[in-house]
Amino acid sequence: MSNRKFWILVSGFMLAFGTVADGVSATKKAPKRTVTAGITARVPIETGIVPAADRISDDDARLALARVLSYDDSLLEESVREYGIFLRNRPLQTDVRYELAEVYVRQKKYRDALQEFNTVLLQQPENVRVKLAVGRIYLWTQNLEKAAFIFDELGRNKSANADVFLELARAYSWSKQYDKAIAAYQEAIRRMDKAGLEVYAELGDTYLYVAQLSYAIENYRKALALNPLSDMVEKKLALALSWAGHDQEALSRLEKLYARFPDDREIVIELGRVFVRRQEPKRALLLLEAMQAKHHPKDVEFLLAVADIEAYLGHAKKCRDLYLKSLDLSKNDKKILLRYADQMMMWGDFHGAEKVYRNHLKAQPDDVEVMLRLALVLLSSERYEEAEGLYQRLLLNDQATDKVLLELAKLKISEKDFDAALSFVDRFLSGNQGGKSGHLVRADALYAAGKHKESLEAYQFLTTDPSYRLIGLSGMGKAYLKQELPEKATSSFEKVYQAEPENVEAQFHLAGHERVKDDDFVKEILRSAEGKPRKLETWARLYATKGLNDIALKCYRAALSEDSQYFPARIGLAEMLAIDHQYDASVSLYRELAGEFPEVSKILIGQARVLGWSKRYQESIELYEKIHRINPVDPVVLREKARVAVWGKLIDEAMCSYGELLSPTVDGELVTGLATLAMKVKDKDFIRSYKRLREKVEKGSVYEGYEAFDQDFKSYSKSLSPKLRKKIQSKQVELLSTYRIQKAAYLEKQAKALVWNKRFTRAMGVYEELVQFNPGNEEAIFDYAQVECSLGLCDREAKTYKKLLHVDPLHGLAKQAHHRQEIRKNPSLELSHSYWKEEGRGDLARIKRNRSDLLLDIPVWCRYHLGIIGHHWIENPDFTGKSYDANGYTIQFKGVLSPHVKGEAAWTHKEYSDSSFKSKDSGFGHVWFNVRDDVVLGAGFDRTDELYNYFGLKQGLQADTAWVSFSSPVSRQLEISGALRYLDYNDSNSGQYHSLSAAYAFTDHPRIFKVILSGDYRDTRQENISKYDTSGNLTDITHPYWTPKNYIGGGITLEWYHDLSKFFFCGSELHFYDLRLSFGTDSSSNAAVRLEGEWHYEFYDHWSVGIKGTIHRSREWDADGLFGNIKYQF
Amino acid sequence: MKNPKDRSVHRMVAPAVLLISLMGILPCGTGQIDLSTAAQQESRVPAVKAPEIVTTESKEEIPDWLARWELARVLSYVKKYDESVMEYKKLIREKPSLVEAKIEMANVMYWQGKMSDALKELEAIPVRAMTDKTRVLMADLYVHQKKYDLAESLYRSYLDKNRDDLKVRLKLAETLSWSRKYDDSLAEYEKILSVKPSDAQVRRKYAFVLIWAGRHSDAARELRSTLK
Repeated sequence: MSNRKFWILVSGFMLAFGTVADGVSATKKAPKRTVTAGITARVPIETGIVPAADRISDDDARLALARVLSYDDSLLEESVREYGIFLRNRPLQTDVRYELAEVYVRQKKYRDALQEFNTVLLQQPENVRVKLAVGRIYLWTQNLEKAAFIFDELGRNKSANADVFLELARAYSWSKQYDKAIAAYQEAIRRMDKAGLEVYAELGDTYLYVAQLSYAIENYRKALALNPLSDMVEKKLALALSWAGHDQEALSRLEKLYARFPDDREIVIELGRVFVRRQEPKRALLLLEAMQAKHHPKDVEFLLAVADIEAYLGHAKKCRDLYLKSLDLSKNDKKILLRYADQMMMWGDFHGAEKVYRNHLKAQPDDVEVMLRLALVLLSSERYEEAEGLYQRLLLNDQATDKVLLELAKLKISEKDFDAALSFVDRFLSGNQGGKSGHLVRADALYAAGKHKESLEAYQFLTTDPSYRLIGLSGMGKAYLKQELPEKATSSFEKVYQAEPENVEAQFHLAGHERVKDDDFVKEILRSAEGKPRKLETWARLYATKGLNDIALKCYRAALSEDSQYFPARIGLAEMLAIDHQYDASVSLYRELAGEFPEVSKILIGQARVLGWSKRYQESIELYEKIHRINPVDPVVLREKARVAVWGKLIDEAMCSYGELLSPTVDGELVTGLATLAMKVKDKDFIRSYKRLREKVEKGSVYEGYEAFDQDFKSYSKSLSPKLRKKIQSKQVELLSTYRIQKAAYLEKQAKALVWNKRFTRAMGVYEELVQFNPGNEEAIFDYAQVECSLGLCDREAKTYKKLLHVDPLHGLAKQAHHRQEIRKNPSLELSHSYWKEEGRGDLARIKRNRSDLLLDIPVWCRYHLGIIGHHWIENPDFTGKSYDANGYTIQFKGVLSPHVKGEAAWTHKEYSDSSFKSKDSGFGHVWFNVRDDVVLGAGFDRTDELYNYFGLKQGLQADTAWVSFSSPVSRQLEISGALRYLDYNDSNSGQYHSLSAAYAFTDHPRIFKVILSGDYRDTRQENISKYDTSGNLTDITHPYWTPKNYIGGGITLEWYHDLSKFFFCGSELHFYDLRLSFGTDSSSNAAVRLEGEWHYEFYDHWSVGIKGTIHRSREWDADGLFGNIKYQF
Repeated sequence: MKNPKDRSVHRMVAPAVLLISLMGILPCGTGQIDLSTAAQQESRVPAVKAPEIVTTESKEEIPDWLARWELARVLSYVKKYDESVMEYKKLIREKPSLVEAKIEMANVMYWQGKMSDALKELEAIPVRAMTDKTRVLMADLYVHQKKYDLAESLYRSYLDKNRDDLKVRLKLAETLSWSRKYDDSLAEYEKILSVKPSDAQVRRKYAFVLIWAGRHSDAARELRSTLK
């Protein structure tokens, strides 16, 4: 602030003085040719030549001396002394006291000045000039609230002059109440005959602070019109134009300013930035580096400016190095450190930035700006819970409420909790109807929530504001596309394109989904974006969103060939390679980046994720552990580590990681946090809820106590004193993030453990609770879909995938799984053939059977299947040596009624070519009940052909079997199953067949080695009887099948199952082989050995082939079987 | 920093000064002559030396015009200025060549505060017919009308003959300061102070002119020297 004083001289009289006060008021006063008003001069007694009436009193002389001394800044102390002597004689001389106060102001002795001004006010309480001066002192001493109060009070007077409003505007502006400041500036201007340059410039500055660049520019222009030669205003205008992106005019003005002030750092720096935006980065760096080398080799601000341009260019490493150098030169200046933290976001050093911000907040816990930046870092690193905790803390304390509400809405969009996002944005808009930024967030939230029609209206509303027109049009285009209105979408994108021909998104959508894949189109965009890595990277991201991975990769590579140090393309390529399942290449790129940027969380977490996806679980876990050591408080690391451990079947490790997230429990923390209050406060409701919380903690609760306490608190909080209520709320908000992290971790842990132990239906309930609590938890949603798949709930599975893809359209596995599900719900045609040959037990088992089937499967609502099968049988009993052909068909139906009940039924009709054999009907009906996943109970009735020899064929032998079964997955490794079967043959015979088995898996998927112990009991009411003719030739057999009596058999099976599938998820293309070697013996000491093998392969999405074989050898019975099939799913 | 001699500022404020001057708010130094207060007038009565009564013959009757002259004088002594001026005017109509009466009437007009009328009367008298004191009076009237150059000339011509009249030199010094001839004014003040170095009042006035001349440190020094 400068003091500008002028004198008014009239015909040789120093009559008065005037000031233009823009800060410190002038105190220079010339001696008046008057006896001080109201004073009868104490004229010295002397006999001089000066007439008595013209004589100058001692006091007047002293006042003149005080004033003349005040002209010289170095003599202010003496001036004060003379004023002091004068005022001792004339203490009621308020105008002179005012002058003294002004001298104090010039000396910056604000306390003394304030004392003098207040003395004047005691005598003249309504003296506006003095109040104004007092207000100014408060303003300059940063006592902004008091200053604003005084100016505001003065401003209530209708005749208040413009100065009052000007100072009020400054008080508001300096206290960052920019909206009020703007209103006050406008009122000041309204009250001025002609506002000065400074006023418009200050108003422009204020608009700049609220990022309303167009208004800032408008006011700078007004200021400049008042004095076109004002370099200060022209510079402000040029900078604002540059920041607003009006590069053409900014460039012109900056170049002119640069010609006049080649050493002005800000001008040079901004000129460099304009060059960068005009795609002339080399020119920018040339200019800046030359300037730096010449004039500012150790100028930290200049280094930082260069660093920021490097950041803009995406040169993370150079940016980082320059910041480190600046920090070194500035001896770790705190402001630079904060700026560095801001830039760290570019290369994803979230932990580094977090550390800087947290350290700063330790020293300045009320720094709202830094708290908001910390929240942004947490949000960027997907630590939504902690970010929300910070925002809620600010909301509770009424700090930056509007901004926080908007940021919370954005956070909830990122977190995929769209309803919550809309709720926050509506709260914001209820207080800021005109806030277009709020309407934009609302439109985005509606779009993300899939409410496309409403989002369209919201985007349309935005187009009414010139600043938001293009973003609104672009949003409209996307909403139209979602509503399948391509023509309207094109119209919107065309408008964007006309306004911004370089707008990549508009070009992408205008080209259409088919054309963007066209080689020529891709070549053209690569050619047109030469030298523009940023543009290429934008194209790459757009292609990635459409799943066009190949083209996205091309764009990333093209960007890197233009600028190999362009960090966004480097990390984008690594991510894209992973999405495209090129895991090795991706990991290699991440390693390269990690070498350059050690301990950068985004890079390390990205690498750990890719290692997990590529099934290198152990490496992934080790990397997560390393990241955890770098920042032990990051819950994302522990959560992801736990998930990878589950994928890698390292369940103990997974549970341990989840466990780390759950300690110490939020309930325990809340008990501790409220303990002091509980001892002091007598409120019965509070004490009761506190006791309930403590009881829960004693029972080992994790988060349930917090929830119950919150519920209780809401019911009685209104009856509490505001102070107590706030104290409790503060504690709750402090622990909010812990509660959210722990509840999600606890539920996820529980669900994973249930799935691990094959308790699928019980896991469903937990997942449902988890997804409701944490709608953006993609892992949980996918797991839930997988559980549905495992239970055969194909239709529900599809819905869950859709939900997941809505949350994250780029979720690769969900896309694949959904694609697979889409195929699975289509009809299929399957051709199969089976061969069976058995020999033994005398003449009982003497047949070869061939059967060919053609199955048409028609899914109904995906989970139900109607099958129509055509059969051809060739049965070749040894007894005749002839083959008997038969044809037939089967109609079958099967389906999953609920997660707990499933069933199937079929009816087969068989007609022999040889009319001497009767046609036969067979079939079955089965139903299973899942009892809490502990046991699956089955029951069924089967009618089967019992064809083991010619006589059975001849007799048309069939058996009706009624059975019940159970199967219990005791644990993931151990499964016990058994069945009781009662057989009723159509030749007046009956029997029983009961079995029990226990299987234990020694290794886990995908290579499972299992040992199965089995035993069975068989008994037949009537044994078979062979009939011979006189020649001893067999002529017939009564009950021509094996009729064991009190038979007990037992065996051991060694099974090796190896899943060779590319992807391990339910519904993926399956590829496996399975070998089983069994040894057994029975009550007849008939030792047996059996070898079974199976290979199954699904390919080209729609095809599958399979082959199975069995060889059984024993003293009494040998069998060989072979089965093959090929299937096409439409 | 604005030029203290800014003419535009001067123009703006001048009417105010005049008004203030006329209201007597600026009782000293705004150009009023030093006879404007009652006390001063009292001290000057009779301000005009009584004319010798010219008689042609002692036993002759006093002519009317002479009696009227005397009446005019007496009326002025008792502050009946209007009546005095009326009598002077009758006398001058009768004896237009009576320069001395004209000067006396001008003096009365001056006491009346009718400066313009007084000056008009004096301006009608040939300069050669004026006494030194009449010239000083005329200069004072010019000062009142802010015709500083004319006043300066008359003061200077008086001082050429009366070098030691410090009171008139003080008037000249002040007049020069008001016409912004600070250096000339300061030179006159310095002449006075060389004769009367301990006259604090002159020194204070001198200091004020130093301030107007922008010589603040000199002014401060001078002012300080007048204070205990």
